[in-house]
Amino acid sequence: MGKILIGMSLILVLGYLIVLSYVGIDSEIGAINCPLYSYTGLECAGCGSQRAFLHLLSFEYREAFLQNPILFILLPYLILGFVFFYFKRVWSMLPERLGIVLFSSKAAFVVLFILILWTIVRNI
Amino acid sequence: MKRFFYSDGENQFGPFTIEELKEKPIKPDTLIWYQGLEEWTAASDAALIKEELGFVKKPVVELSDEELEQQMQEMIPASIPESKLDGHFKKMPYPWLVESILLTIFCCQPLGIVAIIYAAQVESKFTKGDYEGAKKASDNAALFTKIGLFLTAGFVLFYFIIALGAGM
Repeated sequence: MGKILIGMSLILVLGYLIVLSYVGIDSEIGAINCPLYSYTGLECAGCGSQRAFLHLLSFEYREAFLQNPILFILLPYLILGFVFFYFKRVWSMLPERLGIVLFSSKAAFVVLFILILWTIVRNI
Repeated sequence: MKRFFYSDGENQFGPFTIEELKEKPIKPDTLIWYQGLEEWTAASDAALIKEELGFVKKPVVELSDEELEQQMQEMIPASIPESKLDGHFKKMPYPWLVESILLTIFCCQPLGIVAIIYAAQVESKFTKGDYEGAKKASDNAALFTKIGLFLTAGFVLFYFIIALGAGM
């Protein structure tokens, strides 16, 4: 039951991203607005990452960077993490110690710190 | 009693006593950790155990291609079947780190931050020998990540229905 629910949710979210990448960023039926931003006017650490992601899909690095620069740090990290946790055989081409250090508790707290700092900085 | 951990290239295992560690498939380049070590260290470099495990530096010898190939084969870590993991030593619980960061930057920061805080505790608790704590942190990280995912999906569904209604 849980797995079906997770699967369906993933399909919905991915489907949404695919539709969004087809209709484009400026379309009337485009992106879902963040309720947190609508109500508080505060920008989260990830605010603009949907738009940045769409710009990246069309190789517009400058626009993507302006929307949300933190993706340029976190996306490579997340891709490495995805390989480390899900494709161990691929990771074995890289130094094993690197993976343990990159995805250790200390590293996770560094990421957390960066995210919170970025949230504060962008709202000042 | 010192606790020892090792990594087989896929997962981290522990805690072991030195006697238990000797029975594990430890190679000179297997990464080892115990309290007192700054970071994960190759078994042949870990001061406390290299002699216990009999890893003494061999003189460099020229190897033929065949011998080299054979050594490479031996270096591939033996995988441990899931069934052997029910003993008192355990595999590190999955930390949900990638998922919780994804959730934070692409959807719901408040939920995502909570998930990352839990995710960040898994490895440190596990290497301190607190398996229960690590398991709990992992479960909580999973819970918050899943709530975030369901919320996102629900939102997409809701938005889709509204958009359909407006378009008709």
